[in-house]
Amino acid sequence: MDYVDKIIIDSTFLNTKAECVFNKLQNLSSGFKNAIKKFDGEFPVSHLKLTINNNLGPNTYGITVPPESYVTEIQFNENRLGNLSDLGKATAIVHEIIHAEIFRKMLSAAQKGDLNLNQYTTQERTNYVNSLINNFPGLYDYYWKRYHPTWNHDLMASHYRKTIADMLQEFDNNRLSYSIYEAIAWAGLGKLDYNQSTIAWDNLSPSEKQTITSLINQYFFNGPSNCN
Amino acid sequence: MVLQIVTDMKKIALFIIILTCNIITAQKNDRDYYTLVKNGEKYLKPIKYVLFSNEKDEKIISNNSKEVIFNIGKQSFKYIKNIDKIDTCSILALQKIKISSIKQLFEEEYKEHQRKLKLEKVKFPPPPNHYNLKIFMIEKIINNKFIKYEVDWIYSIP
Repeated sequence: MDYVDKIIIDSTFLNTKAECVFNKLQNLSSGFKNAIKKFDGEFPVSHLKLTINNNLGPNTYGITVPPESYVTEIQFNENRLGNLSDLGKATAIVHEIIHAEIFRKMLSAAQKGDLNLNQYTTQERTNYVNSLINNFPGLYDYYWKRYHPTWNHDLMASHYRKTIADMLQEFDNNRLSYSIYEAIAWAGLGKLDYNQSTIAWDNLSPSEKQTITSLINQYFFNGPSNCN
Repeated sequence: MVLQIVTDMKKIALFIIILTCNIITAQKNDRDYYTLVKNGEKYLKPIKYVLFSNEKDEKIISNNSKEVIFNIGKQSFKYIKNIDKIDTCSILALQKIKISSIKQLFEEEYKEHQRKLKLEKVKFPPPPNHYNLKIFMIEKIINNKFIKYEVDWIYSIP
């Protein structure tokens, strides 16, 4: 295993399509680099580990595993990433990085290495919940006050799509109109697994949903693919 | 007379199959329990059954056949040979159990969390891991025969 700063690059991740796109994202001037920096600062509360796992389920390009011992792991399915354009691969990577960022915030509130609340003492749990309320009220609102099993995607769909669209626009050198990046940012944030969908998606009109789905189908899968 | 003996033997065999299924399920260990808080009251995990579809779902045998991963949609369940139980069941045993969908699993784990919060008179969000259900994956092998795998519901966000 190689350590690059505090981002842990697993040997499985080396020389893959995922690594190729990740490196391109890291070379961007602003958004993505800033998001990543939070994991490799002088006193990071969470480290990020990047691995390849080709046993992930159908249509699953990547997953984020909740932190253990201060490490949040993102696993990518290299085989399935191969079906995507570079823009699609970048979308999948940015999507998972934001999940990791949400876990990083939760860890910083917990001041512990994991989020297994059922293994916390009563005092640790009280401190954690109070810290969430005080420092991340929006996150707390989705995670507890309006809890739903899809809360993580609901939070992202409502508050992180612009962040994703901005990163994609920069990654893609502004090749397309911004509205297309906004549409692609919905990938994984509209219809979810097991017949669920996010609140933000449900609030769209049928024609908006159709336009977004069509643009995702067009650009997520098709387009320039130099990371092969 | 011979026919009667054969019929009786069939009944006994069927009873043993059903009994075996239930006995293995009935044995309890620490993994069958969970707590809301460190060193807190131990609660028995409610048992849930998920039906694996050979047509729709994906089964991956990995790690030199020591692990089986069941991918149902974007949810993954792992059976580990040396840790988890495995059992063969007849269709009669299967008829006695309730199969849950993935959506129902999510709902059930949240309801279970809420029930115990009420019991202990505390309020806090569920941890972002699957901690309070015991799950068995049911896979049809041949007509009227099923394998029941004890599995871990792997928590991850796609």
